Amino acid sequence: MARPASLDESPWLPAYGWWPPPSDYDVTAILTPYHSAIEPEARFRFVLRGYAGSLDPVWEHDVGILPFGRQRGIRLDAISVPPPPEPEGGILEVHAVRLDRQPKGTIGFNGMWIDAIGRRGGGYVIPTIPIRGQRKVVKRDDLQVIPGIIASREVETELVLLNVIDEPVEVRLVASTPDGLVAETEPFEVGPWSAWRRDLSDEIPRIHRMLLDSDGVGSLSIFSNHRLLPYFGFRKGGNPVVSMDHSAPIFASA
Amino acid sequence: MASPPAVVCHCRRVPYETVRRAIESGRASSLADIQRETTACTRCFGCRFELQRMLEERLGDRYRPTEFVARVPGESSLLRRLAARVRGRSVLPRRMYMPALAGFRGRDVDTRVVLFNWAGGSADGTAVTVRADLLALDGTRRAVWEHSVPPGGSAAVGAGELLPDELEGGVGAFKLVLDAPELGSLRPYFHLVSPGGITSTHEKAGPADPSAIERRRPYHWVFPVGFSERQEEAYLFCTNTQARPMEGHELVWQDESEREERTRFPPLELDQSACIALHEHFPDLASGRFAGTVRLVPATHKVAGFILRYDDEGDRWRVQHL
Repeated sequence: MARPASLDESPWLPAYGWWPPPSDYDVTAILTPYHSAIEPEARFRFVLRGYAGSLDPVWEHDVGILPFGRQRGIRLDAISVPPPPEPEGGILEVHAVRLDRQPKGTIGFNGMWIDAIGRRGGGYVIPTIPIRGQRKVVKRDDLQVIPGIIASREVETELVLLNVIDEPVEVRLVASTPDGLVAETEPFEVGPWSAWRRDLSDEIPRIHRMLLDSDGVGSLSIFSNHRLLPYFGFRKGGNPVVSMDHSAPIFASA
Repeated sequence: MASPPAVVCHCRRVPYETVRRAIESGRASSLADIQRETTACTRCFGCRFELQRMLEERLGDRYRPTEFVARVPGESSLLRRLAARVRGRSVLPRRMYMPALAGFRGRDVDTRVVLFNWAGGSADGTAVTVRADLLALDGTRRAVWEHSVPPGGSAAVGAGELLPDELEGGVGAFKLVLDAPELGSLRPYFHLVSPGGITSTHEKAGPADPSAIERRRPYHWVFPVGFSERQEEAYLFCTNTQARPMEGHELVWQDESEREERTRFPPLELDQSACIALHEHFPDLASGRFAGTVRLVPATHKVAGFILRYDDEGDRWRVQHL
């Protein structure tokens, strides 16, 4: 499927979220000018796309142009998109192109929201995140952290890594105890335009024993040779995941 | 050995006794006087409610509270800029806010804050001391936790273990105060722990200088609501991170049909929080039949805002920052 040139050439870059399997989650993308503007003359064009392993989108949904004051909730169940691979899911790309003005600087983005309700309860609500264009000063682009992973008999950390570039990304996970002891995975690849979804204790089997003295609580470092968009969430007992959040980069100034 | 004096200002380590003497000697009859005379309340401003209470107790009707706390009067901006240049960073510490639920509305829920001091893969990193103030919604400090996080290590603290007694309404705010040249990995995340699950997101920081006046924000704070087959309670948690009080704000629920409903947002001073049950003000929002947003108007303040959704059937929370 060809990309419309108007989106490819826009200095407003898309932002991303996980496109989870519909058997797991009921997903609504909430598209609202209020999250990016206060001017009555603001106008946005919204386009959603789903990717699964290739730069060519599996589907595209052109929402059209919304003036300031109008909003849309796009429920993926309602627009008949094909399902992503199970259980990993795919990539949801949200273009929110502001038409009445250019971004400050050369590029910018307008983050939107994803409200995902678990079919068995739980779920997550999360903003879409760009791969470039953020204004916060990040010290390193090859490392993100999750303070407060949990791995115990009762609780599992579920990881979802989103690769939104057209090359495989090499990843290494390093879990650490509160005292600083570490255990890590061998390097592995996340394919281009793909989601990777695993339980942390499957990737680092020692982690339950490592975190025994800290109620299962530790931290995780995610090293990658290109920026990834990692999500994490917790499952308690046989319950569904509540709720996923994104990891944190290593920031520069305090 | 004598125990160390009880401290009212944890940033400057100013004992209660020093402030008491300043008031009783007549040298201090206002918050600004205390700031000048003792250096208390000149960094994170977290002790201002305790200092105001001390002034009220000692001075009675003679005490005239100021509208809001500011940096030390007379401290020139040039001096501040020079100090920042010498230190290579902002003079003020970073303030980071999170909701603290501990028995909220009689439910079995607690809040755990976790910090990670990534050390660059070596043991040669530096331990970093952080402080967490547990605040009631009205901004008064209920407990203080100070901890040194070792290089490469993590630290966690729960609201329930800090509290000497119950938090009023089972809800308050964590305020983390960090004095470090770089934020690095020290962005705290928190867990809401309930029988049905554990949910997590990260803090929201206040501006470097809470006295700075933000006239107009470029966007609204937005609480998003998607379609759902399940009904959930919805709470907006907000802390005012700026010295300028929030007054006259409203929350506006708007669905796709552009239908709007409004409710008043409570006035908030610096470090004061509100936990607003949106599903009670806007019943359509909780039905799952409508998608839309609740926005805070006018767009003027940098709040530390959070989305809290509660599924009563599963006794589990979903949380996210705004």
